[in-house]
Amino acid sequence: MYIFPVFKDYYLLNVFSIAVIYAVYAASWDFLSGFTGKENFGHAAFIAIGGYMIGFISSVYPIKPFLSIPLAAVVSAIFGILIGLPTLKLKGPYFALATLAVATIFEKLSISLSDLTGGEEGIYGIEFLTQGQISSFYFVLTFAVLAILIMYILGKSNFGLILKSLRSDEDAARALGIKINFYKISAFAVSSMFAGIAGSIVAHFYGYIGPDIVYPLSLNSIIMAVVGGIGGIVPAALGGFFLTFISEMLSEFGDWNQLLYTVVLILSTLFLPSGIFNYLGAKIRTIGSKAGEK
Amino acid sequence: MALLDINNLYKKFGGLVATNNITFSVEKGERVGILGPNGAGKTTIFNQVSGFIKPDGGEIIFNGENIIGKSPEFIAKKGIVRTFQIVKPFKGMNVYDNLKVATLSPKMKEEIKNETERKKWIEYIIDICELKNVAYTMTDLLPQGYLKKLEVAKSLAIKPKVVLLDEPFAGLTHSEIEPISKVIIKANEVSGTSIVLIEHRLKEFMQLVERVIAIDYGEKIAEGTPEEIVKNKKVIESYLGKGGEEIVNS
Ligand SMILES: Nc1ncnc2c1ncn2[C@@H]1O[C@H](COP(=O)(O)OP(=O)(O)OP(=O)(O)O)[C@@H](O)[C@H]1O
Ligand SMILES: [Mg+2]
Repeated sequence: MYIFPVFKDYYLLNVFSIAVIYAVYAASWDFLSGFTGKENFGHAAFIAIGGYMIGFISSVYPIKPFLSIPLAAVVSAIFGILIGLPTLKLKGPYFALATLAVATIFEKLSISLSDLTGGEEGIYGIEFLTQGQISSFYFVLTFAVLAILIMYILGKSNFGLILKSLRSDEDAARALGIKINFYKISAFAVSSMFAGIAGSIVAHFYGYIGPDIVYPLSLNSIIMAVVGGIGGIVPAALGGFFLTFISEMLSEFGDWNQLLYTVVLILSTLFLPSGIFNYLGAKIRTIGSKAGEK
Repeated sequence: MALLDINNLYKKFGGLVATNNITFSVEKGERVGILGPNGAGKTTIFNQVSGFIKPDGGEIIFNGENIIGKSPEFIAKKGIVRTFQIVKPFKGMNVYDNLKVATLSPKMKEEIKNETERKKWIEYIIDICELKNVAYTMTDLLPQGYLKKLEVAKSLAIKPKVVLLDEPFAGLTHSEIEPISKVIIKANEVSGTSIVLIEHRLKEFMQLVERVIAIDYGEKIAEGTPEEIVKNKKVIESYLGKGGEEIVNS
């Protein structure tokens, strides 16, 4: 019985699952960087923490997802706080460089500590997420929807409003007595936690973790979130989903894939600088309110 | 003992002494003005009292507690709030949400019990600050006059004991100044909030304050009522020029 009859083959189902996880990568990037304006250029490090930790554990003990998800959540949230503490006072390009450096160190370590990490080859033999492709897809989908929903609700809440005030002016917030360090650290923890969980789920999904599926994500998370639209979680998530989907679909074009992808990026940033889905959302709202006036 | 006692406040930037042993106090419910030419050190006094710049020496006693060197967050929680000479609205959100951020500060978290109370308080501030017609406008779209009002409104939204207003009238027309001036007086008279005002718009300044501290080159050169200050020789030399009296009496 096919609950999801759209997917005639597993290829599409696979693409769908990955696109959904990439949506979480983009959304979790947005939660820290889109909201507080601290542009994280090393999001891959947060993803790596979750993914590689599960890889390490798996090489000695076949850990199952129901254990690794809470573990990845706790460890990557703590990691986010530890990275946040020394870097949160840095502004603009200095913060970006510091996070970039963290991810670069991670990447170098993953290659050079090959006894532990498997180097370029990565770590194989991680327990699969579930027994079947379809159930794995549902697992991933449920996680992604929950993660995006939680971040969306947090973003809409008073907590999210304070994060947005920091993006605009930290001094103005401090003058009112807002404890800006607490909020920045919390944003770090939440962002890192969801990136880490997503990383651990990817490891279980592929049964594998390696540099090729982690380190390009520093840049890609930014691109996906910015093209989708920052500061609202859902537009960034949709950006992640569709760009991943498009990129996979375009892989048929072989070498042209990268070119087409880049063209999409350039066009969207030129014509829709606030993000494709932020733009569409605003359009829908104005049409809705016009309809309401009638 | 006054509500706020500033004793020998000293700050040096490299070779420049920005505040040279400045001493003055602010009583509860008082409206004090700080007067002085550009670069005299007025904003630097505010920066130190509000915790944004650490003084090199002196005391800042607020409610009997020495708050010198404390963080801006700590000082705001105690009840001293400052505005900025160059307005700092929260961009990417509307006026209502700007004020909401203020109500989410630790000071107001203690006073506001639930979201209904929060809404009421924000609406009250919007009302007295005459921001109603722009309450749901993004601050990115607001003209300077409204941004100046919002700057004052945000500071009043945390129910401060002392507000430090840094040139709230700069760049505004007379008709734009009047409502802001009214709000300041209202906060002062209704809630007993002490006001410390820096302003170059002399006419409005002198009408608003009860006592003036005159500053030049980082030093206090005079203190007194507006009437006394405009007759003070040192103040005339450094700042007012001739015709100071006309300004006050006009
Ligand atoms: N953070 C700082 N670092 C170095 N010098 C500073 C700093 N802040 C102020 N100054 C200098 O200290 C002096 C006093 O500056 P301040 O901003 O307090 O003047 P002001 O009286 O507010 O002037 P204005 O009326 O133009 O606003 C100026 O010479 C200024 O250049
Ligand atoms: Mg100044």
